[in-house]
Amino acid sequence: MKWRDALAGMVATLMIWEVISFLLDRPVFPPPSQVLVVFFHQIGGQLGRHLLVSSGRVVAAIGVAVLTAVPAGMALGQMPSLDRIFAPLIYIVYPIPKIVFLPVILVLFGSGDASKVLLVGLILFFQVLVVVRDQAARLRPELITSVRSMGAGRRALFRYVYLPACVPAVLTALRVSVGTAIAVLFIAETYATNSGLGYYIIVESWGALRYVQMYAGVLAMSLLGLALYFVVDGLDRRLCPWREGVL
Amino acid sequence: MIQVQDLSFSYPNGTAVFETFSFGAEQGQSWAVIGPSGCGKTTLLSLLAGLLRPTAGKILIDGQLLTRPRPRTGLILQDYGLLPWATVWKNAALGLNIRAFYGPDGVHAPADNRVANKQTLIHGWLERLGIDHLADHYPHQISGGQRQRTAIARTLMLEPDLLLMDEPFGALDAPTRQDLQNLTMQLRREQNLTTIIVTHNIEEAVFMGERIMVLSQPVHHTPAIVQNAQAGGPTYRRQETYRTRCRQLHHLMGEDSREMA
Repeated sequence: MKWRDALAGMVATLMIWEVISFLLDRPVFPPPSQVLVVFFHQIGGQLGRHLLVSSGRVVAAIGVAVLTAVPAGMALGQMPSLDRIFAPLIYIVYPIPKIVFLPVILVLFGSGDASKVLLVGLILFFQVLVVVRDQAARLRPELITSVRSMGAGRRALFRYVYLPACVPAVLTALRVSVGTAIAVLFIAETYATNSGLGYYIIVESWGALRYVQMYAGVLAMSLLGLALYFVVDGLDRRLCPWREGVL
Repeated sequence: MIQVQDLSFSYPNGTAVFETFSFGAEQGQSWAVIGPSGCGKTTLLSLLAGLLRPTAGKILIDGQLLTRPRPRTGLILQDYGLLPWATVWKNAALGLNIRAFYGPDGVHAPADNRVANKQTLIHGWLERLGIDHLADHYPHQISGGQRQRTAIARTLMLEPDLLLMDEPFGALDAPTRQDLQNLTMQLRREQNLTTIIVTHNIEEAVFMGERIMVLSQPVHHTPAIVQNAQAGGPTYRRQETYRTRCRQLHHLMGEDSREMA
């Protein structure tokens, strides 16, 4: 997706939104013309602060997930005996909506940033783990043999083969799971906290019947998702130029 | 150069491939190992590369007992040897980068490993192999022959003294295959390399092996070796000796020699 296309999509969405709002004519569905005024008014203040907090949590969660899931995925992909032990465990935990762990996480890690980062990190962890493991397992033995024959031991194999081979897998996992991650963060931010877009949308706006402000928050959330998508896409083009034409 | 002494090798499932198997190769000789699929020729190459360990017996290369891949042995496989995410240039540089990664430790890289100018060296080899104009291309953007040229450049710039090849030209069309066979034999002479090529193609074995080891079905005890001193000469394919040798090998491998006529 290009910036130009994203902009065109956004304009189209706003137009449809404006029309539906005009037809409905209810306070619960305000037109974007009003929402945008509030959005631009608050983005430099309160809304901006909540957006920053949520962004920070998502980025931290991505960091935690990538740093833990990549080595774990590589180990499982390259050691079938280890994978045989852990695969059933992964597949049992994988489909559980991680939001169900929210009460446990809140009790164990408190109501601060750590619990939100952990919950979102947990979702991303499994996504990244599974694709990295499959990618590492798919590496052709001939490739490993030929690199080993040039003197590569474990460290050099990691640096020159496993790591670069896993980058596209990690980016694919992030691309498909960042949306879910933001959605779950939204729910987590509506409990026992006083910051983040979830709090802004549900507690500060919806709870106070400030519908226009609520939609400004929703807009900020969708822009956060879009920005992350573009970051992942940019990284993909920068780190994996070889994929153009392969995929 | 290579001494294989009473080598025995069985796979973990118990399948024996070699038993008290011995042979020796001199420095600068070119060998071909030929046999049907599953005869153990790739296993032999992996043992010589130090990628597999003998069950019993030993392999000495340059007087040293082989226990792991040695820095001065080059290995070229049929395909999939190039990193798909790296350009021709980066693939060619891979061996040098791995050596730089470890430094001249004598284990992963030769102890006397010093590369004065990496860029010049890589460029020189890409030029020598006729692929310098493809330096920025990825493996999926170039032909099979060009990929093998990249693999050859990458291996030879590490200055190996022993070059092992496993069906290196098997996936190529006939003219490209001949072209690369000629080039490999020419480079072999220039670098005074000891080469061992594993193939199931009789013509390739006859063109590329001054000694041809014929393997049938395992277990192998004593290798059958055909002397073929004229191998690799630019005009060898047109000589009567070449055709005779091919017929002889067809016969040895139990194929119908009339196919050659």
